[in-house]
Amino acid sequence: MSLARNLNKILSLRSLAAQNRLFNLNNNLINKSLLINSVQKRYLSNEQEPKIEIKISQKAVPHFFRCSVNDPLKHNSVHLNKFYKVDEKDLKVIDPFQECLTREHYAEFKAFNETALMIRQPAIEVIDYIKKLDLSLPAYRFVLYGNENGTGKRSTLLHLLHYCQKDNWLLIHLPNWSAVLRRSKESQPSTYKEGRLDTPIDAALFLKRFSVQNNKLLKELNLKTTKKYNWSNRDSSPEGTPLLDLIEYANTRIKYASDICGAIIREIKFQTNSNKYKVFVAVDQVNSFFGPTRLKRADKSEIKVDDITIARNFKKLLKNDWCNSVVVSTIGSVGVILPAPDRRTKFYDTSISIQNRRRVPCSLHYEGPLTPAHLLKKEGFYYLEPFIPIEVPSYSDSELLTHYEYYRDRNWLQSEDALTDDGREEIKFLSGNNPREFMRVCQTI
Amino acid sequence: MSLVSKFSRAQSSIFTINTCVVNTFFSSHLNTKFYSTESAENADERPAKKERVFFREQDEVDGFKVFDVYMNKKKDERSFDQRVKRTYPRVQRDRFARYNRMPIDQDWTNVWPTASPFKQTAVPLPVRQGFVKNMIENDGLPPEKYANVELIKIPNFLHLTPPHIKKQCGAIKKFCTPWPKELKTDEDCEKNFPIEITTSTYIYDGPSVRDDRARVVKLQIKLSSLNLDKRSNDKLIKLAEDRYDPATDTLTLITDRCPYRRQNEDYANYLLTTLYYESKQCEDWESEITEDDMRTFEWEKSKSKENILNTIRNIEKIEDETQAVNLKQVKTYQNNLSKIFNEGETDTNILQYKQSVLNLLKIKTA
Repeated sequence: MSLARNLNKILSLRSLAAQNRLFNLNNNLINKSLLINSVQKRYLSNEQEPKIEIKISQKAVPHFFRCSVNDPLKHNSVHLNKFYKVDEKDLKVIDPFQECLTREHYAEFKAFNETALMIRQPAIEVIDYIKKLDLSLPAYRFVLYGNENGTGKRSTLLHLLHYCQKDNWLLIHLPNWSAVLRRSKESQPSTYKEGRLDTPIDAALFLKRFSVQNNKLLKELNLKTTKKYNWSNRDSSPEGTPLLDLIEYANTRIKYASDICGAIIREIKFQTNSNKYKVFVAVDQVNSFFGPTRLKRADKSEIKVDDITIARNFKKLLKNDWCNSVVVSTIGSVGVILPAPDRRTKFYDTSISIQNRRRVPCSLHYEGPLTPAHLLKKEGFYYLEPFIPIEVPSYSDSELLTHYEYYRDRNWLQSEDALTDDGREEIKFLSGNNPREFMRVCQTI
Repeated sequence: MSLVSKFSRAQSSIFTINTCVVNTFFSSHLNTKFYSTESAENADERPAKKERVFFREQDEVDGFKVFDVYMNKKKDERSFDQRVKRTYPRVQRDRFARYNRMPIDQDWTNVWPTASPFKQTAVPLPVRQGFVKNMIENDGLPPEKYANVELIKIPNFLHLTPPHIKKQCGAIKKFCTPWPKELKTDEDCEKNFPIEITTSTYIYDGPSVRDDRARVVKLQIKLSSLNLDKRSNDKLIKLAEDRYDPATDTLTLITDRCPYRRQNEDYANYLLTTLYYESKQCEDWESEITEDDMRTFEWEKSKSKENILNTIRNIEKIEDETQAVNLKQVKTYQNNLSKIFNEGETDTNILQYKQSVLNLLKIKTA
């Protein structure tokens, strides 16, 4: 039964994709009449042509769940609860490594052949604030929080990133930062100061992302260093080297990546006074900056967040001692780093009966309240103070309805029962208005 | 004679003796059997056994009838199933028993003045106690009070009936003093007698009057009635640890380490006085108290003040500290922040905090 359903789904998707391909082809032909050869002419002259036209006319009918404005600069409260299409070129710039959202999201985007985001209240609220800000004052800090997991903090962040990218902000984006504190890909003792830890691959990854996101702007601004930096006894970069050159240098010498990362952050922070550019810092799971890490030194002593070179530098971005900048961060249970289960003393999930219990050690999850003071604790709270807390609530009824209609439009819901009103109510009940749960429930039907 | 032949003779002699014993045993057994068959013939002494009746003709094999034991057996009139139930003679209603001769309006306190084991003659109640196996035994009813050990075993409260208590209270009444007129309400009582001591006495029917649990003393007092200043109040709460309940503002001391109640009561009082004077004393190291040690959040002493003054310095360009602290938006911020840390993060508290931050950072809201 499930196989048949899946097959149905795949077939429908394929037909959708084919349809889209035809649509694109048609568009291309109309725009550029270069590729038309005799074969294509014959193809177009066949009976299939009017069919395509009909499909186009069907597409042209505006759905109530679709936003006609795809430019985030023009979004306001009129467009609430509607899906807008993120341009693929923009997405490749904002989110080059597909880290902003979860894997499930990207799988859906791939299946639907488009990236559609819902315009929701928190994003619009922050955009409204950003439009009104006096940027000569110290950095503004926003903290996105939700009372449940999976309410859409990261997609709100993506929407904001899209807005700022269109508005020519310099983007500094740290997606899922807590993964580095749990287990960095590679680590080595710092050459700059004893006792500190370099994470070269993570730093190089950040630099790569940073250069992709801001390539255009950095070329325009042509920012240069204001100081001579010594990476080691031999290597140094003189005063006045462009930042893009520094990033390239980090690509060739990954060993110095975390120090170069710090230098770039320092330069960007100090040169904001020139009012040439404005910086948008987006941090996911910011509460991981104010807790323990799972990394350890060679002598098994524990490493604090401030001992990691790049973490130390990123933390400086969260302070409000600079201007022309906005920091939007999310807090969540993923950012709470609990001690890893010891290999020698394994503990198992005792709630499962012994027969069904797998020999897989339990991993601990944070299960406390998800409000700012609980997650940030006093240390983080004082560090970010005064911040503007913004709640990302779970779906309202109208939001859920639009998402449902969107899925229906994309032929994502295959079961006939799910297409009825009762089915919709049941999906709503099963998901409990939680967006992530809604997505997961709809994946199976 | 060889040794072997000697041995064989001895063995044979033993054998003969053995066979003799067996023979005698069999013969005696058989004799009784024979006797039983013989006695059946005497019709006068025992009821004659009916001749077996076969309801089917017996098979014949080679001129012999085959005796079928089971198939052709006819059931007796009195079979196992149809046994007559045993009957137990009921205790008949004895008109001359004491409990039947008691007048209805008698004074029960005179009949049963003190605690004593159950006496069936003195109790005019149809009480029953005990276990019955099934409906056959005693018609499924528990045994009556006559000669019933179960009733004697259990403690009874026949000496503590309402008339008993009324009579005894009436007897003690002459020793009591009237309730003071000033203490009309519970609040008055709390105000004049802030210390509340709770003890429990255990009464039961047994050989000894004493009970170990009676020594436990519980002392309760509201901290507000001690009139302490804020520092010493906090110190007392720190010293009392979990004995203090913040919801009701009460301190509870339970003492049970001495053998007698009076000793425990004295000890509880001693604890209270030492707690009181210890918390009043201010040691030198108490000035080193940090923010984490404090019971409640205080903005003036926290790191938050420094942060906010820094931002205010940038936004409003005010260098003077007292002037900055007295600003309206700073004061509302301070209130809302302490609400979040002291009362917890409710939705309204976070919203208020957000509003105060927006005011502080001068962000216009539509």
